[in-house]
Amino acid sequence: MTEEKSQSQTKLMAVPKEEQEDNGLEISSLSQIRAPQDFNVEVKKVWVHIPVGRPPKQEFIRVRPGDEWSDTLGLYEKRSEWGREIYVVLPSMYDALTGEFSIYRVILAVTRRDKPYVWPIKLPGPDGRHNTWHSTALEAASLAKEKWIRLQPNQDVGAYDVLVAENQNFDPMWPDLSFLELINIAFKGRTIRDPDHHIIRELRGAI
Amino acid sequence: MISNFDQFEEICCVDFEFAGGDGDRQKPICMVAQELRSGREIRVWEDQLFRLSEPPYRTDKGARFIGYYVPAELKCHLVLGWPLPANVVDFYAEFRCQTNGRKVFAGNSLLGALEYFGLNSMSVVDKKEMRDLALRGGPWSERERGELLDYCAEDTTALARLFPKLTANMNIQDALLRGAYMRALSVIEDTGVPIDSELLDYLRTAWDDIQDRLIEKVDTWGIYEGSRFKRVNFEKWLIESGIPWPRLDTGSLDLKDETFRQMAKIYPSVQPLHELRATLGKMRLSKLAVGEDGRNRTLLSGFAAKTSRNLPSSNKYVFGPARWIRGLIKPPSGLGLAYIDWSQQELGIAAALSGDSAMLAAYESGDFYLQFGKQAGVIPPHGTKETHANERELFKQCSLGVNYGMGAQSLALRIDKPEIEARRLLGLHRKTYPRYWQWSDNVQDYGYLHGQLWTVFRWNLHVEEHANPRSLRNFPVQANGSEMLRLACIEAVKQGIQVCGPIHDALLVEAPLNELDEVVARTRVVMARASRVILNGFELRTDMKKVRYPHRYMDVGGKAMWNIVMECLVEVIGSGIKIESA
Repeated sequence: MTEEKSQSQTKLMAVPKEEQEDNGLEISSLSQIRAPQDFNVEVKKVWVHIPVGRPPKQEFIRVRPGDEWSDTLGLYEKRSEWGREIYVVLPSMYDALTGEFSIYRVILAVTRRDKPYVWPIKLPGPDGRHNTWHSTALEAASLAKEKWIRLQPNQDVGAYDVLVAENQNFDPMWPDLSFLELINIAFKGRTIRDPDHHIIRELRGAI
Repeated sequence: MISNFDQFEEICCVDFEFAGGDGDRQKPICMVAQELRSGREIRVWEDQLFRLSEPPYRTDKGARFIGYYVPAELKCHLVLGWPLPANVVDFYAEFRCQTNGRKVFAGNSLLGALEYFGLNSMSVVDKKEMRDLALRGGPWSERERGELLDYCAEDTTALARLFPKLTANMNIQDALLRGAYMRALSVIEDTGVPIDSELLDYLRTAWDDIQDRLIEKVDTWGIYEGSRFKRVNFEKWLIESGIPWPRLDTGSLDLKDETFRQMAKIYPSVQPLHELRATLGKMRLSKLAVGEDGRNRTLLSGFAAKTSRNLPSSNKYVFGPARWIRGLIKPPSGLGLAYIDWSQQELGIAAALSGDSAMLAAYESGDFYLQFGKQAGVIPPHGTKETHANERELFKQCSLGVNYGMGAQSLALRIDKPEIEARRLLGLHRKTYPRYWQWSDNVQDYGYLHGQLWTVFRWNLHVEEHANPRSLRNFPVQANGSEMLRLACIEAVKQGIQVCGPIHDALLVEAPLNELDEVVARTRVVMARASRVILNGFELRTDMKKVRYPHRYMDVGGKAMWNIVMECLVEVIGSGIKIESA
């Protein structure tokens, strides 16, 4: 096969500009009729569930700084064969539940995946004694106001190791809710506010 | 009835019947035009057509030309040496635009459009009979001539009946823009892609023997039995090779072309098998539409995809899935070709439309994937493509996957890593490009809430029940990419640049060797301008590959298969054949 034989001579067939009348369309003028592409819609994520508990040990977290993003609450922890539930005990019920609940510092934390947690950390009891798990958790929470940290339980010493991520400048994504709203969602249906509450009745052996 | 057409003095519905083999230029047989204002009908038979130096209807700015898939009509203009109409409205494109995404039970043909609007039409059988009569070629008896002209007139009458239905909600500027593209596409379809037709003849002649040898050389694992791909053998090979192949809901292996293409990217050992299947599967070589003048011409089917992209036949068009066949593209003596594509077009569009500044910066860095890795804090600021090749590859796959709405499971398969790693990458993408994600979420929510999405020039997508969320998110990127390509085609053809074919995000242009560089430069300017219009001032870069006679075009992904096919050809017909390199 020679080069000449393999090819057919083809004349250029595009229609020269001067021979054609077009509709006068100018590409640059089309910008004026451009339709917007933002597709704006008001769709907002509504939080219907916020977990209560220590964030997972595999996740880096941040704690929201500012007094308005934490509170001191009485919490009652119910453990059963079906799992663990945490209830808020209102101060008016403290007497009814003496010895059954503890005082916690409740703070707002978010993971690197923007998942919020209401994180309760037990405070020292009336005797002032403090479990090292809890004291190291409080220290970690304080550090997490500035840096991304991860909590690693260290069973050998009975405390958390705190791992701080270096060179991570991402800002945490906080949920668009007040702390009170967050608490209400996190403890929805789990507030002990009167002596007839099923928890108090259970503890009295009434049910 | 013709209110939004008031500015036009003449409105002509036109239909041609034509003959012509696959790949050849069309040969007009007859034409009927119906002018809607006066009701005048013009019927012209073949002999008269060729005697006319211009059409018997106006083509200037004061008139409007209407057809159904108008490149067919306009290619007759080109063959007859008639000027192309200044204002074109393609009722096919308009029907597609108005119904895109909806169920169109009778299809998108002229008959389908009539059915859609509840207008009675001729039967499909009658229409096929008439098409066959035209394609049979002459001579036609007097009676046959009459029948063909009547048939042609029925189509113009159908267009006239569709007129009030399709123009009622038509945006005239957008329709004219789509018509301008179909006008450009007629020139491109008529031009075609130059093919080394002598080599193609050799291949076709020896194809039966070549196929057997191909299987022997490529399929060293014994997956084929004779010329048949055996599922059982393939499954066995996958197990032996440790390749986790995607399956259908039924549990059987997913053997789609696209799946092979994706898997070949992850597992290089799959690539030759993919090429082999693409080559043998549908007898692609024999169906490649190449005319007597050695050019590949076929309907490019503008606006056929939901995204409005062209959907040419994968068997007839040289840019089909069997990539080695592209090695047959060869500029004729004295000419050169250039393949010019927008660099990382989809990423650039996503960045510009969403207005995500970090994503725009990544595009502008020149290496999106590397920059993404740096922005995510995984690749250090001094890292390069060479020092962090593996990390860059992960960010590349993640970026591409996100554009298609890929989830962690699919991404894990693509990067051959555990799903948790894929989740981490997708999480980094969300963190790094929050504004893009907000925009992408908005696109999806808007589609579901309002039932419609659109491009900058209002190519519509009707969002029906059960619409795939990934398709919705991907729509603005793909469909605006298509708008960009259309603008580039319109402008390139208008400037007299010889465009042989549009290919997804690229143009193949042809020019005499001494003008090739200048034509390439002009085409790149046109493409840059088109990107600025679509992306509100943001400019996409272009890449370019030139081929000068006597060299041939070669797709990187098809080169290995090309070499094997040529080896087989030489074995079959002897060593007397000379094959120019890419």
